[in-house]
Amino acid sequence: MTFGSVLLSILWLILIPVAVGSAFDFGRGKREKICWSWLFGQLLLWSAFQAIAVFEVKKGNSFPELKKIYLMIVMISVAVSLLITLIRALIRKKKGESVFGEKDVSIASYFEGESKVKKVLSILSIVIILTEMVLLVVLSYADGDDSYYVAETTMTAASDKMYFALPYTGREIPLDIRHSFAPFPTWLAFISVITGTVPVSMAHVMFPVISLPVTYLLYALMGKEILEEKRSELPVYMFFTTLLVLFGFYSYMTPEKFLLTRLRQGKATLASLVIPMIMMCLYMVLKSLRDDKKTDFRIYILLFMLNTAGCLCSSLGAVLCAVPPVLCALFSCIMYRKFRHVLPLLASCVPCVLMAAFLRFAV
Amino acid sequence: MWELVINNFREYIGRGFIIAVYLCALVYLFVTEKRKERRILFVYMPLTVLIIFFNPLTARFFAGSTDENIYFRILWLLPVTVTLADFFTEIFLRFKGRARITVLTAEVLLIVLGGRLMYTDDGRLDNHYELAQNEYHVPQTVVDICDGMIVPGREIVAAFPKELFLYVRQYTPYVVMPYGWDDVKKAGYGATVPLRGYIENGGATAQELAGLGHEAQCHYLVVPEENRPEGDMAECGFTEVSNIDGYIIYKSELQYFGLWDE
Repeated sequence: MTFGSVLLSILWLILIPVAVGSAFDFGRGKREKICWSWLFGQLLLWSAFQAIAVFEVKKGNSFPELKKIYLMIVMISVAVSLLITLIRALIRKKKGESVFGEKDVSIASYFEGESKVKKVLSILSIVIILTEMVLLVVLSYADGDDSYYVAETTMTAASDKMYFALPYTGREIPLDIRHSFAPFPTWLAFISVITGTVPVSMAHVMFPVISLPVTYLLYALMGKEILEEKRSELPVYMFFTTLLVLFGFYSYMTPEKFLLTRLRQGKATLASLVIPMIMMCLYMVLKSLRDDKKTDFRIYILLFMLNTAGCLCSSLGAVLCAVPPVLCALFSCIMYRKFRHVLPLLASCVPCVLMAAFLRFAV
Repeated sequence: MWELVINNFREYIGRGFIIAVYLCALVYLFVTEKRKERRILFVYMPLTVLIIFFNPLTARFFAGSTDENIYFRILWLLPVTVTLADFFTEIFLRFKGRARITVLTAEVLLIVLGGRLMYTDDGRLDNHYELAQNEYHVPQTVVDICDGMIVPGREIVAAFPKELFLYVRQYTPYVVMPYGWDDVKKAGYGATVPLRGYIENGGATAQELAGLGHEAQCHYLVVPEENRPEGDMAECGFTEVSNIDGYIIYKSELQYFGLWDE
């Protein structure tokens, strides 16, 4: 792992997603906008990868072919998004508005009232997150499933072929449809090749270390949405979140356990990032129904992309990601007697339905 | 089917305390929460997920279409951490002054004592923490053994014991194995492949071990020192070439090690 590969990893895992997502211009103030941009950008890139990879794998094309097409899409997305962001900024400047729209909520506002307690809790949360990041580098964690998923990443990056052999042993097998339709290891192989990082290092160290703080930032974003008028209590909420994650090993199967130990496996990203983000989007839809306001259409786009990304992460994502929007549509119809959101919510599940149909008829 | 549901639920809840607190929070929200959006997301949807999970028909469908051991993943749809963080924050805010600090301490103790620290190592081979030995997070023994085997431009077949083969193909795709972690998944920690059984448990003669090695077209056999076979492996076509960290490396005299286009 060279200094250059670390910088390139930061570029590919943080800066490029933020650049791509900046076109959506979602959130209040600069800080929130950056977080939302990452979420929109990364999900757009994952969705694009899923769409291309499934067809490339099915067509039997090689990994370099997939790399070429995906790279082209990333470059075009970055260029178009930055252009949109630039034009928007110029228009806002001309109108005399702030470039980032609304102003940031000042950090000091979180520490009003019982500031000492909140300060201590904030510091403790940051210490917990930093410790977890350090331990991700210093400690190695053995998991049996790595011998499938990480081996698949290593094999793809080295052999230029996709899903042609059983990762456990390396023996050639017929196309493994179930796993090839959830090509998260292939995406990780792409990132390791493009950043010049050894695939096993990318999977075990680089990707989790960069993704963990991003995941916590998204949890903070979710906390802000949920706390609403008690927004200033976010430090308390985040302290409990970090503590619940740190002590979340009450069984081997909790999303927290997957977050801190198996983030390199798509199912961990599904459990700890995609599903919570789906819940956040649904909460935002419900809030707009409550306030009798029009739901921001970008939330439905985000939901659609989250569902696509869920399928990239795990074939089970096709089922798990579709359940919350469907249940939300059902209960909100009953409780609010409003129906305008039903169609977009159900439409956001289309990637899951397609994936399920592919799996049903292709396996 | 009921057994599948209960086993998955039991394994998911583990010690059970945190999930018990979550269920209490669910009841509390059911009784006290008036805001519809919160009732839908934190009460009705989780309750429906639980109904779906405990429905034997769902379990039957699930078991028929995928691996039944992952049935617990339906429970990932329960927003346990989000709900508990919100619940604890709400209780914390209900108190003022010193009482607030007492409540905070009680809540922290509840999480710390009811949960389990993530970095607890219970000695399972596939849930095991150790200090990283290199930037790959792969034991250095595996790196050294594989580096000594790899022939650039082709694949090599080698058989390892389970504590090593977990990592081999994560590190390099150029070492192919006659069996892998799939055998552990099939047979628990036992072995369905006789060659693996002999390598991991010993008790084989040189003739038996070498015979199985040749049958699997192995270029190398990696055997723990304590399981050294009885008899002379060299006479059976496997020469001892090195000993790395307590593992004997036998190299086949019968296999071709060159490139196919040479």
